[in-house]
Amino acid sequence: MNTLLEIEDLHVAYGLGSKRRSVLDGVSLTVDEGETVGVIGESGCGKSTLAKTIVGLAKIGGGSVCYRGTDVRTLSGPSLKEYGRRVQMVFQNSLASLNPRKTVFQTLETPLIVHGERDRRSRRRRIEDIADRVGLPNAMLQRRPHELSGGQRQRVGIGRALILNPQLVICDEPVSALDVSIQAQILNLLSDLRREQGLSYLFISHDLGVVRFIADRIFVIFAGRIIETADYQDLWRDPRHPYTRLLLAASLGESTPDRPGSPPPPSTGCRFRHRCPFAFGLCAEETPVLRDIGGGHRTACHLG
Amino acid sequence: MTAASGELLVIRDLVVERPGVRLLDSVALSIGKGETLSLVGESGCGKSLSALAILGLLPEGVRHARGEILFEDEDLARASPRRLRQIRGKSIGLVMQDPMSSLDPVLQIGAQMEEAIRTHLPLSARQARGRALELLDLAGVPEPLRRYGQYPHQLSGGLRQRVSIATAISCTPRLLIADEPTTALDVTTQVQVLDLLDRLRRELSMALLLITHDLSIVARRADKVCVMYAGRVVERAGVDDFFAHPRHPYSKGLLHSSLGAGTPLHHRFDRLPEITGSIASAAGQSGCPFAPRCDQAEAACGKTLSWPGTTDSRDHFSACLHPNPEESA
Ligand SMILES: Nc1ncnc2c1ncn2[C@@H]1O[C@H](COP(=O)(O)OP(=O)(O)OP(=O)(O)O)[C@@H](O)[C@H]1O
Ligand SMILES: Nc1ncnc2c1ncn2[C@@H]1O[C@H](COP(=O)(O)OP(=O)(O)OP(=O)(O)O)[C@@H](O)[C@H]1O
Ligand code: SF4
Ligand SMILES: [Mg+2]
Ligand SMILES: [Mg+2]
Repeated sequence: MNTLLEIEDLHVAYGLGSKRRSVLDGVSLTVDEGETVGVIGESGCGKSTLAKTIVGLAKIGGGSVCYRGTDVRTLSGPSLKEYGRRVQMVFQNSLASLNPRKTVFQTLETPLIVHGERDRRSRRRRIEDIADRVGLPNAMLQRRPHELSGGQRQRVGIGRALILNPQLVICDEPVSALDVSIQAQILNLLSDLRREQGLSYLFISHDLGVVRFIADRIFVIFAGRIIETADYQDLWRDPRHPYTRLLLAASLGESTPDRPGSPPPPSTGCRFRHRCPFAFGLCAEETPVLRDIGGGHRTACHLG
Repeated sequence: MTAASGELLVIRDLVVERPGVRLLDSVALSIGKGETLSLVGESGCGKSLSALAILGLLPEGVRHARGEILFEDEDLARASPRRLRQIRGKSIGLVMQDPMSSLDPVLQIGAQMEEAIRTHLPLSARQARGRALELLDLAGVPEPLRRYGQYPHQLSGGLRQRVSIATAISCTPRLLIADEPTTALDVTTQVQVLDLLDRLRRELSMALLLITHDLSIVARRADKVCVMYAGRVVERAGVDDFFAHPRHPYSKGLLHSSLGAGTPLHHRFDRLPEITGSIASAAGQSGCPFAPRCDQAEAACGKTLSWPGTTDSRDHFSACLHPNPEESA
């Protein structure tokens, strides 16, 4: 399999001087052609930042993002434009990512015009086709974002990401705002496109139920670091990191004593240790690194 | 069904339109003091509009055409804009579906919260600040002090959601309307936020109108559930009764297509169950709005004018022509 996207030791920070905060701390992952990679983690762990970095909306502080072997920071002119066409993003916040003055039709038409589709009739055909596939009735094409419900707006965002036949779609919580039947419709659509066109996805969600349905491999992020990665079945059947276990238990509706966010994760040693039921001396002294425990299943825990 | 019977909010025959199109059709529901009512239904069915209608916040071009919205016996549909401003944020708190639309992008989080608090409570700036920080912490925002000085764009999706929850409960409203308040939150944080709302509900007898598409939340948190389809209420029941005996075919489809983490592992290329067909274009046509997609539909379903539905002995309402499919099954 060819590697489409390769992220190596990515560091991203926001703010300057004393306010500088590291958000991603050495994240590495790859997405192969035709593969769907899931990224899960709690609110604020850096998922959207990872997505934004890939599409150039957040600054790479260290490490690299390569697309088909080329460092994206070296792209310019036509190659940058081609990257912008092949790698699309579905934003978590659909309202803020849509231009309030444009109708749905115009929103979907703009990328086609920018990328040189001159024929009006074929643009219209393509727009109607995509709208239909994401479940937007034709009557809605003339509406503006504020005239749509939350879920309808989200589908506009998904349609816009798909309209240029991308190779890789970065999906940041694409279905969190949708009810189950439409979630199913969109997830089925993503699966179909993958089967028909070999599309790849980097699929970000806090919802394990959704990720495990769609992803081949899953990466778990905690406080800006990858703490576990495995094949979707291995991760589900045999989660190794205490945080992943907690996540799984919570998503199955078991109550956990865990209280996220307080105190803030420490910057040295294991970042999870204040919330970890198994923490011991070494966890404060040494930062656990990702280690292979067989079959590509890797975890960053001293007990892993 | 007035406040005398313990109901805090009673909506009757609510109709909301934009020119030529009926968006909400005869919506009726009620919430008792300290009760949680969950509003569910397909994207675009009118959940958010119902919430906005209660507070007189309908978007431009959309108007309230008919119906009563009784909050403690006062008809909000007929209240003056000034009166509505008094009620908003004080007696009724609102968490909007899109947290960005209730946050001011050019104001720091803390300043917005202080303003919201001081509009309704006679507190000094310093007191308001203390209250705001405490609320942020309660809502599960880590490092509240640092967040206080940040702008909305510097927060992650889930943080924004918690900030708007903290703001909405700042004046201990008697009714909190929360439109998808936890969609951006991971399960553990979600539990924390829902626990907080539960606690406020018990301790302050705050009622909760909880709009969500997550049926597992409905099952665990709600007392009553109200299912909408294409601008109408198609089912209304106590939550246990609803999950044990859903009556409306649409509700059954909804329950069938849920994919919580507890559902058996699908192969990735399996298709998830969908409710076939697409959403009915608009409310207001005659007959059952679900008829075009319903596998139990008969000729009569598409024709009957404004079918009133039936309420069974358990006070379980269903707008389906078939009396009680679950009992014959
Ligand atoms: N523009 C910014 N300036 C400063 N800090 C930021 C900015 N954007 C994000 N952050 C901070 O970076 C951290 C990670 O944010 P990010 O949006 O990547 O989280 P996330 O994992 O997507 O969370 P969620 O699930 O809530 O969307 C958060 O603490 C957030 O406040
Ligand atoms: N300002 C508006 N002008 C015209 N139509 C509108 C407006 N706002 C909403 N609508 C339409 O009214 C219907 C109900 O919208 P509403 O936002 O209440 O849906 P919802 O049930 O909250 O859906 P979701 O789960 O996707 O948020 C939708 O079909 C929507 O397109
Ligand atoms: S390294 Fe230590 S603190 Fe971290 S997860 Fe493992 S046992 Fe827990
Ligand atoms: Mg995010
Ligand atoms: Mg809505």
